[in-house]
Amino acid sequence: MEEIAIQIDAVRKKYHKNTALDGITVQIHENRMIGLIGANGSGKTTLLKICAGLEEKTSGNVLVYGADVTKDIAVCEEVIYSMHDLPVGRQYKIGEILKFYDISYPHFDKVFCKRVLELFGISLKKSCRMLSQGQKSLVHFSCALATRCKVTLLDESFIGIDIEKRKKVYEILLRDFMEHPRTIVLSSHNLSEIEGILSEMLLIHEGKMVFYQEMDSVREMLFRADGNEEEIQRFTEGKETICVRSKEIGSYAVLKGSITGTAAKEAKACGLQVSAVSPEDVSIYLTTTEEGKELEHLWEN
Amino acid sequence: MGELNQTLQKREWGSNVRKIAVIRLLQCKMLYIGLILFLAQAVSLDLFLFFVQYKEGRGYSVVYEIGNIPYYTAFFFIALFVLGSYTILSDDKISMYPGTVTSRFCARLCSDYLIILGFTLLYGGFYAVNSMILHLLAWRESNLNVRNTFSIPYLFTGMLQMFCGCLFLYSLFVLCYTFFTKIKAITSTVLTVVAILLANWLTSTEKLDLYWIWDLLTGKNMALGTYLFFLLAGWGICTVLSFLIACMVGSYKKQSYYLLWIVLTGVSLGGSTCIKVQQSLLIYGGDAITDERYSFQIKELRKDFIFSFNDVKQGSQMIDQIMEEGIEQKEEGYRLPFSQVAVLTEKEARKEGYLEPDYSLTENQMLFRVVAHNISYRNQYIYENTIKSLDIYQEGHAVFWKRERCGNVISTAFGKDYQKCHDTEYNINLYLEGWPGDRLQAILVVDETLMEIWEQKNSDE
Repeated sequence: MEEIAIQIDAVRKKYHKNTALDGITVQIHENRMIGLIGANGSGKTTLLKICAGLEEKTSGNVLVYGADVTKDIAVCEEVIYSMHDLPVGRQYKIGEILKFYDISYPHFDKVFCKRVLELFGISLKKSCRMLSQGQKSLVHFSCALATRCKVTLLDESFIGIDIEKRKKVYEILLRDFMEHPRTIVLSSHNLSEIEGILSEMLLIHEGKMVFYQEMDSVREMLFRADGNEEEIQRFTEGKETICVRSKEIGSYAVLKGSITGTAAKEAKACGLQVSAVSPEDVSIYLTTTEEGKELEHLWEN
Repeated sequence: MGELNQTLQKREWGSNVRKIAVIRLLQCKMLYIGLILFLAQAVSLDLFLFFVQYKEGRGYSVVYEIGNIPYYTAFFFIALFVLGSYTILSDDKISMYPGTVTSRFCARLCSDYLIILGFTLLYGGFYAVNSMILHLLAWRESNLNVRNTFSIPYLFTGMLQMFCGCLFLYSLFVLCYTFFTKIKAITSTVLTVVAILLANWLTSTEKLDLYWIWDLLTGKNMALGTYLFFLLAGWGICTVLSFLIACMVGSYKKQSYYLLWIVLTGVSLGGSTCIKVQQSLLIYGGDAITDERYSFQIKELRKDFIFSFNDVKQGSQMIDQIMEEGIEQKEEGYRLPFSQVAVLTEKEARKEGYLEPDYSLTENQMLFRVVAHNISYRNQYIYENTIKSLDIYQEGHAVFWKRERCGNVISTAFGKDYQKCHDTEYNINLYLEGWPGDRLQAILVVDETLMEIWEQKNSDE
């Protein structure tokens, strides 16, 4: 039976009058690679920081492997929170940063970390202030991965890294995950890039959880039907529709259900063109409320 | 089983504290380098000033002591370090490594205590080097005297005091900060304003003596052992309280406005103290003048006091008091043991060499000059501290003496004579009892009219 790595129970977080997290409840099983997806300000960073014990929650409960991460040292040492710009101190050399990680994390693999950094051409003698944003992200990512913590929380860790290196990073991440299975939560805006390595996806919007599903389920969650306005309107009547967009050239609707499901088959039968909705688009359709004409007012006289 | 788990958890906690403390100590590498450089620079500057003074005083006997530059540098450094304690619950650089609020808090405390200890040892080391260079020169040059003998026990006493003082100060600031993390911004603002207003009101209405607080904190008039006990007890209480508050803080906590409030309170209290000092200076009738030209250059210690009087009768009464009754300490009635008090006119004083040719008194003033021929014992000038701290003041036509409070324990932790300044149990009154009175002389210089009237009055009687 799989153990629960992170148990989040009705967690709320308020910053003065703003609610960052509004009663999120989710159980994350161990040895999964989860994508934490959400728009800017949706509460991703707050959630990850609360899971790492770096942020105080207003109410609710968070347990990591059944223990309170803010009190249990053994669990603390098995949780790493990393982001693109950690406050490691600009004056230190990368070699020194590695030393700090080596002291604090019991399973830190210094040799692996050095190899990863070497692969990206980052010298250990280089001072942190000399690093570009991409290099900083690479250093923090390499260190976080090398800790081999049971719970690895990567918060926008790939910002500034060029596409070529990003691809290598995903490859390393996946391979290391396979070599040393653990729970990795990735928050990223580039879902299209990382969806291939994710096993599950947690979508949050305005501090609330929209869904927590396996990637295969997310891919089957919605489908899109394209056609003329009349056909679309007729077809969507009485069906669970996420959105309907009418355009001059053609209209489309996004509906709940798999592309291989009954609804999609019906759409095909109605002469509509049916296509799958990618996980990235799923996150957009499920969190966007505007009708697509929200930009028009920018050019109004 | 439960007990075993608890023991294991304690071990883990201890190990985590040690790890974070090690990281923090490694992170402070630049701090040590900066500290060594600053102290080395301060000592070098102090020695440079010594050489300048020595060169100027060539041919004379020069007495030199370790200057204040290293001390002020150390004080500045400690002040900054203590103020920096406001990040104790929000240290970005260590909060990214695993740990709980309490383990990070304790790790930060431990590492900072070690830094303070290192700083104290370093300062002691620099003091020893500075002192040894001076003594080496004094050994070679017959005209040069170093005021204090170098004493290892004294050095360690100074270091112990400094370490305990810094610990107390640090823990006091930490307590204030942890308390601030538990209250909201508005509450803390209101509290700060109330504290400032209350302190200023208490000071202005003389309900609270800031000197008393300062004396208490710096251990004036306290035996060394008592002072250390006071510091360590204060440190213990503050640390325990701040730890308990830290246990109640859920996670990483930042209160950046705290520093602003502390600085504002400090500036406000400092300002009101300055005003108080200014006021007390205006209240005193007699002004003491210390002319550096005559200090320690001619192996004679002098201190001048100017007394003012309204009319000749009052002036005459003042001379009578000094000549017949002596000068009393107002509170306890001890008299200053002068072997000789001579009353001279300006002309006579000049002729006898007691008054400089360019020195002249203004109307209704008299000069009281206290002179102690310098007697040195193992390079320590035994009257120096006494003369320096002696103050003779006037209230109406009565003249009293007082001795300024015994030296500030922290500020004089290094470079001063331990026995007279630090062991405050060594009471000034006991010191005066053993005072070889024939060494202390006084000259009262008055104008001719006053002299005539005073002499006439004496002959009539």
